[in-house]
Amino acid sequence: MRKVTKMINLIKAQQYRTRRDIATYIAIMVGLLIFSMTALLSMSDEGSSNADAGHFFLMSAGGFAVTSSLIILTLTGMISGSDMLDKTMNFEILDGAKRSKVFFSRFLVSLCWGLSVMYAVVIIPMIVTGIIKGWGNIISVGQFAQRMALLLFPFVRITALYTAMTFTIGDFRAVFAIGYILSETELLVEFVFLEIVKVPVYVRSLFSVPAVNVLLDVNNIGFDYVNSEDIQVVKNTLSASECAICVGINIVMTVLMLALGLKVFKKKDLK
Amino acid sequence: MNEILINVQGLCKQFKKSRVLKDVSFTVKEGMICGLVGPNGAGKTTIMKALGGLIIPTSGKIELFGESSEKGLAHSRSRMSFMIEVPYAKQSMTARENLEKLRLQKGLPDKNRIDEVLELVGLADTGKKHVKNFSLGMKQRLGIAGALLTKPELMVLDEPVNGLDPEGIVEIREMLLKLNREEHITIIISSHILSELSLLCSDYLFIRHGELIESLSAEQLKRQCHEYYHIRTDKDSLVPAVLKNTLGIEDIEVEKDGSVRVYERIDELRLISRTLYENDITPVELHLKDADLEQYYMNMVGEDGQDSEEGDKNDKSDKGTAVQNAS
Repeated sequence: MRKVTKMINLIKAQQYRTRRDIATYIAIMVGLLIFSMTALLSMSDEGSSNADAGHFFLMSAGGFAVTSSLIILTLTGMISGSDMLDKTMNFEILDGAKRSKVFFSRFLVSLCWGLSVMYAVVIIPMIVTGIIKGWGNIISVGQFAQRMALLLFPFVRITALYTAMTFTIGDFRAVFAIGYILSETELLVEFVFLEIVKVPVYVRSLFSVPAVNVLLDVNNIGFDYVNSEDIQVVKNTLSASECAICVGINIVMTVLMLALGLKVFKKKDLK
Repeated sequence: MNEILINVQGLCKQFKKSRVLKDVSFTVKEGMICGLVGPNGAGKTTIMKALGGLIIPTSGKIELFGESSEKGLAHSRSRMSFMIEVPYAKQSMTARENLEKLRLQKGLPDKNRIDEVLELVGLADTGKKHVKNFSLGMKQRLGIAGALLTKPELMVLDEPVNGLDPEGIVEIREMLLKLNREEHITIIISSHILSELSLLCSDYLFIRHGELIESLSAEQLKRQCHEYYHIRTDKDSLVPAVLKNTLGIEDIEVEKDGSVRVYERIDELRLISRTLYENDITPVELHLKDADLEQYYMNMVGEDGQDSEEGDKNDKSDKGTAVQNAS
């Protein structure tokens, strides 16, 4: 007698499917292109001739929150939503997989692809620029690494948000539209409020795009005197308490999104 | 005694204001090929989706292999195979890739099984052709291949021959019969074409407007479709004994309303009539009736949503002459 369907088997099947889907590679290439173009355009606007890896990161950080959100949205929508739309997800339930397994396996696959693509999109251009132009002094490698590590938490939370949204709405095209509007709106509202008042980290962390921006806030640039010359350096640093607030809120939001998404999916009739 | 594999009791499903299943109860025993018959929109697919866990019933109980808890149902479903509606497949993948995805999902170690089922359903030579370029018949075959990837104990097939050419229909029918006889796989199969199911099924469930209106074995259906005398008299209860004792007629059925069906001595209307009069029984109705499968289906489920009573009036052929107080 065949054993009950395991989550690891669902993950293997989804990985197999995602690897074979040309849309996956299109999403990756588009993400890479958008990220690089944003950085290059920012650098040309600034007229920077010293385009080392550190500068590259600084220039791209501004557009990174929305780009990352949209790349995760695209991949999560494709992995969860397209299977709901063409009903191939139904096979998993008909096969005896519990809905919680179906839900979490897709969240994990989306997370795996989302994180891989996001870090590749950020790190590959940085490495290429670093090899050609060097790292530079504007931001230390340690600070860059710290921010990259902390970005894991909002990425997980954004993946949870879009997984829940996809399982609730069902149609990934609608999820794309809503997700895009949501990301842009959050960015705009954050921008307006930051111009008026100082918004605390815990408030910004409640929203997905601002939660990424908290970790990419590298606008405060000053001068340090190093080796007998003045050099530009990023003055923003993340305190331990800010890091803890950011991580804590992102974890809570992740759990909340997943719990809500699963609750809705468990009661949902599949077409 | 054959084990009950499916036990559905009082199944109801409501989508917003529309009640699509109304108190449906039935059982399916091991070894059956059970035909779910009804017109489009009758609720056949909804029943199958409820069995598969795709829709959540509004009320009622589903028991599969004796299990009714969420965990038990999930486990039972792993012993089953489903093909519901147009088979689900990734359009940008080949038949083999779709089956490989299914194989991984089901955790089957044997890769050769894919070749076996592709051969079995006649899709072995589709190569790199994507499913989006398949005909409906080929997609149906792929769906059946997916259902056969494991060796299930129970298969649930929704209109599996829809879109197949006549040769394909025969092939699938023979394959299902073989699976039932040789592999002892119990099958539930839906169709709105009774004649197609009649070559396959051992039992039938007739569905109309979300209600189970009749449950019959193939033997009972066959009998329903034979010629018979429909007799209604002023003393219905005496008729079976009189006909048996006087004319030696054994093949008699008493209907719920007391009327009698006589399946023997079909050419002897006058003799039956005279016998009844001689025994002081006055026939009110004495018809020779028959119904072929299609007529029976129409009577059962009605045409285009007509009530069965309407169907009765229109479709039942009435070869005999009504004997109303015939003398």
